[in-house]
Amino acid sequence: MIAKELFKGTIKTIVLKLLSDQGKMYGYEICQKVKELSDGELMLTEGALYPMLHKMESEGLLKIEKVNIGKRVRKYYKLTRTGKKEFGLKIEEFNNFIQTMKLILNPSINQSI
Amino acid sequence: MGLSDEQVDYIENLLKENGLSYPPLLEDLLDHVCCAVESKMDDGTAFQVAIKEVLNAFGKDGIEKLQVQTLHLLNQKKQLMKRLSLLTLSVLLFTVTYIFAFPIDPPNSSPLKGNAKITAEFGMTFNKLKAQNQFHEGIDFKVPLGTPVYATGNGVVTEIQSKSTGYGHMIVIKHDDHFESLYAHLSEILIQEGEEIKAGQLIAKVGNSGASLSPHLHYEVKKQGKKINPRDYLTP
Repeated sequence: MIAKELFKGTIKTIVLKLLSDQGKMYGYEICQKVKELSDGELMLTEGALYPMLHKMESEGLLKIEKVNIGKRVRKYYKLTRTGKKEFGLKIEEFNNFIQTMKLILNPSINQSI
Repeated sequence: MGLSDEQVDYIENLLKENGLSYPPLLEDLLDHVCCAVESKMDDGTAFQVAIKEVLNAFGKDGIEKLQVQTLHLLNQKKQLMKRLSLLTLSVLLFTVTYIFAFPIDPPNSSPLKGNAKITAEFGMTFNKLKAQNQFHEGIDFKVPLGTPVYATGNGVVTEIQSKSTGYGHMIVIKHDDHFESLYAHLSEILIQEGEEIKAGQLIAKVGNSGASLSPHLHYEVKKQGKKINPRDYLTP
């Protein structure tokens, strides 16, 4: 299992990535997808996902499409135009971060270049 | 396998009992818990057992904490927006107050009320008296001696000078915090220093006083102390 602290900062990026690929998803589906894609390594809990979804919606990154399923409502989350832009930025930011961490953790690779 | 309406109602009540009250979050979690319960029931777990397992997975007070955290995140955003809009409002208010407190009202009527011939423009010109090129700080209107001169804007007379050289008989009117106008080589001055002047008011008569070869009006405009081309504000 991947450490919670490490995971926390990446939830937003993961949500943006999944919605970018899938078009629209509902909360439970996102949790299942993360579990499936990470071979069970990442457990995205409700407690982490839903506050993030609501925050992203209030920031204008996500929009909601509601579908009635019997007595309950299924809320599909989709990327807005701003959300798509943010996704590009987040990916770049994350890749830069990985590169930097590699430099710090493996300085020998850096020196040999 | 889909849950019955009664089962959905039952779950909704359980969530509310656990402290969930924020409607948008309730919608999300109701669907989420229903999905999780359905998944367990598909694996052969009974409804009552399934619902217990799903809710236990939230941990103690987990649902309430989730709601607190969501509202906290949303509030941070709202607080920020509130602060931003307050800031915008105060900047706007300040600008409006400033505009009203210090109106910009350039002197823009004609000092001679009519088409007077301009014989020297603002800028480098040939000075006949000194016989050399010189920077001309205003514009000259060639008009007969005694032609009425009018104030080009509202203001206060801040300076009256009567010399035999330079500007000769001259008037300076301060219009606001930005603009001043100057009228030189006059023959007669019809106002007092400190007097309040209305735009278009008769203030003097054209003359040939000071460094002047023939009757004309030398007219200058200063903006924030700097001499500028009066043509920029003259309405033809």
